[in-house]
Amino acid sequence: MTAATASRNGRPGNAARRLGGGPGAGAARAGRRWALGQRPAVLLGIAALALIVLLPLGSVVLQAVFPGLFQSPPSYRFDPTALFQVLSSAGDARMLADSFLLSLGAGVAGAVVGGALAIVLGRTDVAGRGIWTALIWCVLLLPSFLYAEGWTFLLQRRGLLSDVLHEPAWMQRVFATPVGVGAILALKFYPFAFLTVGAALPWLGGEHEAAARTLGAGRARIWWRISGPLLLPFAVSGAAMVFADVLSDFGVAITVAESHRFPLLTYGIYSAIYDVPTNFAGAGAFALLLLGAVGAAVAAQSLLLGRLPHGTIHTGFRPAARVGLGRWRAPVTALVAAFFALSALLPVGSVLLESVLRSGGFSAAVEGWTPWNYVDLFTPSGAHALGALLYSLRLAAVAATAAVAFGTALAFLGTEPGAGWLGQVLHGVALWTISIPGIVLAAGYAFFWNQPWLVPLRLDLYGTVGALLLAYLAGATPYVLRFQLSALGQFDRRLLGAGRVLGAGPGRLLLRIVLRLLADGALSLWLFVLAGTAFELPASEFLYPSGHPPLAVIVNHYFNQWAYGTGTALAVTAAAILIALVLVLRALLRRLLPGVPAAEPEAAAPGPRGRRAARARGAPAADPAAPFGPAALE
Amino acid sequence: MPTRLTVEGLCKKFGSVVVADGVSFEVPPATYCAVLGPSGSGKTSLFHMLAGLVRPDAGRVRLGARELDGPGRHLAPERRRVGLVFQDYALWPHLRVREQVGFGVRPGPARAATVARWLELLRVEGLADRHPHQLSGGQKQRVAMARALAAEPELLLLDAPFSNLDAPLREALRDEFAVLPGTLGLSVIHVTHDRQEAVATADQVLVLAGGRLRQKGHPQELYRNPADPTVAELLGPANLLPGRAEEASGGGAVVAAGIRLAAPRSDVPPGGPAVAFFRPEHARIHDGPRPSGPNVFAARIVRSGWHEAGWRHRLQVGPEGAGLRLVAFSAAPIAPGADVWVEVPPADCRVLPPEPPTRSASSAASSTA
Repeated sequence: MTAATASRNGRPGNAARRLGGGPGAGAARAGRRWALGQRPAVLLGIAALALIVLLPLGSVVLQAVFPGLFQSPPSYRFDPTALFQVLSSAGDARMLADSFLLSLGAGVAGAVVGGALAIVLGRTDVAGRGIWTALIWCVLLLPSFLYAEGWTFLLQRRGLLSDVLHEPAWMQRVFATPVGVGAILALKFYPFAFLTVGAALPWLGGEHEAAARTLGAGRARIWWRISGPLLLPFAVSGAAMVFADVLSDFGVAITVAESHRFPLLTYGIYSAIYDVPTNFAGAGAFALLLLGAVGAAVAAQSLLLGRLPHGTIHTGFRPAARVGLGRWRAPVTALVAAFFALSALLPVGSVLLESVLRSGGFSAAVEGWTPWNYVDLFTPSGAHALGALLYSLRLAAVAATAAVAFGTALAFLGTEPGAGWLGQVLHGVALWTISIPGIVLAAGYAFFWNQPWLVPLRLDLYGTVGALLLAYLAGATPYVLRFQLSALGQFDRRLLGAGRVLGAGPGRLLLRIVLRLLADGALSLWLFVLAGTAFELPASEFLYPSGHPPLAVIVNHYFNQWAYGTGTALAVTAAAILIALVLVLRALLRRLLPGVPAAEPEAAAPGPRGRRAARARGAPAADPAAPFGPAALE
Repeated sequence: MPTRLTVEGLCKKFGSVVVADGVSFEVPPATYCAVLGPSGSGKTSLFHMLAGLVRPDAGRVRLGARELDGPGRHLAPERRRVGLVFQDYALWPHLRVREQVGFGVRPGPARAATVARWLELLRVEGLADRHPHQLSGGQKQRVAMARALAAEPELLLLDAPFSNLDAPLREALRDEFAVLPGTLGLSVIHVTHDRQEAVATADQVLVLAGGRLRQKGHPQELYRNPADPTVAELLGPANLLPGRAEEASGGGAVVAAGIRLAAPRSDVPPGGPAVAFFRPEHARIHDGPRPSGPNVFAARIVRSGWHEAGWRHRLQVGPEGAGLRLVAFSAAPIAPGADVWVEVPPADCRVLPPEPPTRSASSAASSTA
């Protein structure tokens, strides 16, 4: 009997003894074999990621300085003419300046708004926290082109507000400026700053503030000297993220900004691709600049958080208690409600209203309402629109499944000790690829998968659904990888060690242990990718197979044809389907996998709802002094 | 100025969990007081109430002439002048040592000198420009102490400050801080799990269990005359024999597992459940003929091992699985399995009541309203 046979029989230790090794020799050899097999797998995964992300990206970016690289025969001459043209052209330079300044302003504004909201919702007893948090997620998940469309419908000349408030020209004037567009972008992307600051808040620790109070400091001094400085790096990091997302946004650029005659950088890439003839060198120049700026922002964010002069995030700290607002509770709640009415309810409500208006209608009067925008979707005349919706959902489901599977497997292999230095490479790749703007990746795909030398290899995927799927995968996998690397980094390795000593290999560990424990997070990821991919615009615009436009392309087409009612009805229908899918799948998961711990923000949060939920389960209810409550008992 | 702490009828519960049930005690001025108790006994909750971080449901707290907590009154922590050193130090990660210590010092021309003085007193003057992550555990402890003391509190609370340190460092810091009441005229209350720490440093020990104050007094008194089995075990290794109280001339007795142990005193009525208690070091093992005198019983050595105080033995009294297990010491080794006689002088024996019943939250609240 060989050691392999003995192992298959589930007795690696016996096999080792029969072969003359010690009791642990078999397990040690198995461990070495696994470690040796792991590195090629990680390498293969990184190579695959490079293929689907870096190759297409590099092919368009390199043309900014090597314009003859993909000619036949290829020319390797360094020629930055396209780059200099972009930088020296008045119009292009203005577009660059507009983009950077607008992004900077939106970044600062977004960080201020997001940080303030995070503090108010995370550290005070303001009413309606659950609703406000849900609205933040709605804004985050809403496609930017749809968000911009809502504002356009509200604020444009003869728009909804002009109908209700009778031509407030100043509104339209402000809206049509970079300031107005920047404000919209800030209101769309501030949730990133909210999430960044909000994630840091619990780790400030109740004891930091308690220590200050026992030394005589009041609340204002505590925020000025202790909590504020500790949160500042996260607020700046949030600003960097908002900056990066605003700069690389395509949805607002192709809708609001373009129509207001100040094109943005991402629109520059788009128009270069659709130029006649296609100006890939110009697109590459814009892409290089965009990538550089976004990459610098993301790098600065990573550096900032990685070089904090203190080990801020500790175990052992109790979260700080919520501050009671007392007589300020009602005014603060009203202020928060007004903010969300402005930032979420107005644009979303505007989209909903637009979806029930007759085509070309701007009046809010009920006489102008019609259900036919929705009804038509389900009739033969709307078949192509509904077909596009279903087509996008199918593609998004495939892309989400592939991205979560690939990203999770790669993250798992990369976080195992046997991965060695390749694990570090994987972390770096995940961090960097997240910063690639979707429009740049889409342009890369449009160029790379159209190359003549791919034809004999049967890999000329441009114009096929394969290219579109790969683009979706390339856009989603870095997020999945980054998220799962973080989740697995906190995974207790002893759980896997226990499986390994019982003979489980990487596949079995992944399927039976890791995925089972991370199922809730993986599903959330899958749903997040599904929703994002269904409404994905840049890659869809560039790469959809002829005759099969995805959802976002159809919606944008309707907008371009002034059929706003039909376009918004289609978008709202898609959103409703996705929300229903989220709710059903999450409920199913809880039923099928009862052992999976569910996220219970109600139980975790103090406040009346949390206390009722806790009491319903027979547990001690949380007390406003929870940090010093039952958890404080040794 | 030295001040007296007075706590009367302190009550607090979180949901159905009672963390303080009518706790009352006094800490005289310039006294080092240790609070001892098992996990979940409410020690840290008591501290947080004294510091003002948690408002009690009922009771009073007075520091000198000032009322900190009372009916309709709760003074905020920043106005109490009660210092607190946290178990995890709670040093602010972004401030240097000098800034940490100076935080609670009144602004003014003397501030820098005050900070320098405390840094020197706590022997961390060379670390003034370091951040907390650049300090060792012992250094963090000193800095946390310096920070609390520099604010000149009237009362200092130490929440298990040495629990994260290794044994030699713990002992060294313990000895250093034990002199604070004398040198600074400051009352110190120190929460600890470590009975050695409590016994070695404290003038007064408070034993908490289940949110109740079980006993208070000098550590020696609590060690010799614990009020109940929980106190007995918290203050040191204890032999506890549950049985039934009997009358005895000149005191009381307990009959347990077929043996009768007499004691000089008993507050348990005869016939009721009781627990005989004696410390292992008071039991004498005889491996020869049965000695004469009271409180002698047969036992068998189950296990032996070398201990700092000699040979430590586990003994079985009565049948295996049905009798009792005891601990005793001897100067010479005795083989396991040997049958011996154990003698406990009546003067070293005590009759204790069984554990007090656990009171419900509602009854606790009504009794202290």
